[in-house]
Amino acid sequence: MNGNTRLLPLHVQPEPPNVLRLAGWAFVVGSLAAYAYILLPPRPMDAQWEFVAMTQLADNALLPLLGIALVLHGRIQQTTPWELTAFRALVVFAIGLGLFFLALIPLAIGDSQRVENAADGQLALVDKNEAIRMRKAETQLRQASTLDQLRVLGIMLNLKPAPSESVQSPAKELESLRKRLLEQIAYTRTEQIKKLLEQRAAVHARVGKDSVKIVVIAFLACGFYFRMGIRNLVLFRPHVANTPE
Amino acid sequence: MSEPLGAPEIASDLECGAAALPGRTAILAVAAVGVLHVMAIGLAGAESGECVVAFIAWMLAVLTLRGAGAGSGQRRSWVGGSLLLLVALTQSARMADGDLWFLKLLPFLLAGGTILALHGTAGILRNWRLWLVLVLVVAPDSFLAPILDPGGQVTAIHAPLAGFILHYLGFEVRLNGSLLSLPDGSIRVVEACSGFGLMALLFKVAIVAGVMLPMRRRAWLAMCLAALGIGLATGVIRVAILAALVGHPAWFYWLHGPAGRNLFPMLAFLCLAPFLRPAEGPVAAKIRRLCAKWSHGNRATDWSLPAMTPLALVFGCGVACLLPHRPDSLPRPVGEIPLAGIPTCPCQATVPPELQATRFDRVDGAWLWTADDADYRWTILICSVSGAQEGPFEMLCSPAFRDFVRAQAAPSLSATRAPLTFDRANSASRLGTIPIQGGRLGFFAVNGNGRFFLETNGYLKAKTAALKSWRSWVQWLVTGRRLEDRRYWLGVIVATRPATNGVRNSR
Repeated sequence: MNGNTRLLPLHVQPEPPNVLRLAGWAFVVGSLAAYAYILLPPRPMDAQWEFVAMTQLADNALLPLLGIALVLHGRIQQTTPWELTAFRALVVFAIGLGLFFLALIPLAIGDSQRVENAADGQLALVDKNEAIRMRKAETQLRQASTLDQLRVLGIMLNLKPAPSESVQSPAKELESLRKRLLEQIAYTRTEQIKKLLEQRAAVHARVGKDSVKIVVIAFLACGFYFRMGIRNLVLFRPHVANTPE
Repeated sequence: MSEPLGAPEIASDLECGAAALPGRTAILAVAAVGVLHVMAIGLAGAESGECVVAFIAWMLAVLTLRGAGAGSGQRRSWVGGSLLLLVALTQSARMADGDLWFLKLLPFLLAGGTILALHGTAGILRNWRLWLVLVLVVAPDSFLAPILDPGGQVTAIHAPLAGFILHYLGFEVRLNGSLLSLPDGSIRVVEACSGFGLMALLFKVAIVAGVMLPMRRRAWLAMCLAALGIGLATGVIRVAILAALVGHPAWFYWLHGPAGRNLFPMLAFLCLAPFLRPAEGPVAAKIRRLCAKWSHGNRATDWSLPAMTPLALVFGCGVACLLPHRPDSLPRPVGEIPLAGIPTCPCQATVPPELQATRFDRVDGAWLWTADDADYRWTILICSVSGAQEGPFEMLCSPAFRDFVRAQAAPSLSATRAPLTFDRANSASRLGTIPIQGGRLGFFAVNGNGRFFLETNGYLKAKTAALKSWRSWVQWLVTGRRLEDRRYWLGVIVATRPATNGVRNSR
């Protein structure tokens, strides 16, 4: 030990900086920044945005809890007035977050219904447009009177009929091509419906999973934050700042 | 620890035996003029919130004057104060149209006369807090607008917040500017319908409490912020409820009418009461003892209890007054009005049931005249209504009255060609005539005293006519019946171009 170092009695030595507490503050500030990034700019009453924002909030729900727990862990009795004010603010913040996540639950349930309805509406619109297009194509194919017209229509409608098996007379060839093109349209339509139903099922599954995730995480976060806040309400007692450990 | 804002010395000689008798006289006198003032603004059509603010101000004035000391003993002051009171009371009995300025001056005259008579000229300066409070009570809300709502954001934020509340509760609502659209209908949140007036009222109460009571700065600041928050929240919730009820006209008009205008301020005052926490002082100690006496010796630990008591009483009285106006207590529609015995009636109009069930207690009759001149066919419709629950412009703007006009006075105008709209914000409609497609349309409203008015200000002026005579006051005090100031004649004049078929009409 060199001569420059002063050996002070233990009870007057300055405390080393609490690394856990610093890390906790970093978590709190970082989570606040993440929440601001998710929520800004706000678009209330837009169910799609609300649902996506709630999903992202659920992903980051427990990050502030970790920070609050690290800050409030350990010795909190011997603090300066500024620290005490900060701790009290953190307790209020924890209870506020608990209320916030509690309020998210009914909104998540309502928005999941709205998002599903909106997706169903969009798919129904696509289905309707496709049905109209196919009906129009069928009408055009039925009205075509020459092979050339049918072939041009097939190219325009991007239809690839199965090749004919034998050489036939022009009239039979015309009817055969028409039949094959109509079969192709019916097949395409069936495939479209199948694809739309798969998309609908995928959207419903995704929204359902997300809504369950939001509700469960919000419920858990609400409980954790309330517990954290209520356990530390002792900080609001007037004698806390001056009480030795 | 900050110092109390209000001065505790105002009641320094509460226990002074020599001041006991004049002090009680002062209390009774100030209480009496306070009751007169609240009665006057109530009869003149003030909202219940304004009456509550005046009531609180006078109640605090009574508390303040408890310690104002003995009378000066100067006969000249007593005579001067009495003369001032006499002028105030006689002039209030002779009030006519356009005397709103006197209604604003009345509390100053009443308070000045009382203080001058009981405490002399020295009391005028000593009670500067009372003057300050009266200025706050009398000042219109527009004076507070630059402070509380400088850019109009507070007013503009009501519609989005109310829309979000409805969205949160599961309603399918769309917001377009200040227009809230629901499947059952739409409402537009205008400035008068927002909660700014309520915010201003609550802010006035907070300021009055800070000036008159010994409150610490922190508690006073908390009360001011709470007043703004509660006012905003109450206004937003009211707008949300109104939007949710847009598909139920009876409930909508009940809440949009006097019932809602009285109910929500009362609830807001009750929410604000717990924030009234004056510091310790002679007045606080006196009221604490009084509260303990009321509660038979139980410990009164908080000021919010004595503050809540009068406000709860006011709330109870307000609810009791509103009970007769419940939607289910409205009279049943009576259908066609018999007008056979009226010889001057050229044509009787059939009053539709829905017109009577919404905004009036009774439709006494409807008269229809038709006359042609060189250019127009003039159709004049007059409808007499009693027990109106809203102002004439609200009645004129009601869809039921509009459909009635379209059916009776302008049957030749189809709905698509002639949108009969009564827009109170339209400057042309204030002049009593607005252009419509295919002709011109004018409308008017006349109150029971035969006074003709077309503007909102005129509506208020007409209501102050109820203070014209002491007989009305005596009638109100003795019989408890409202004055017949809610009887209106609603009229519409439609000028349409008749089908001439190439033949020009002549007189």
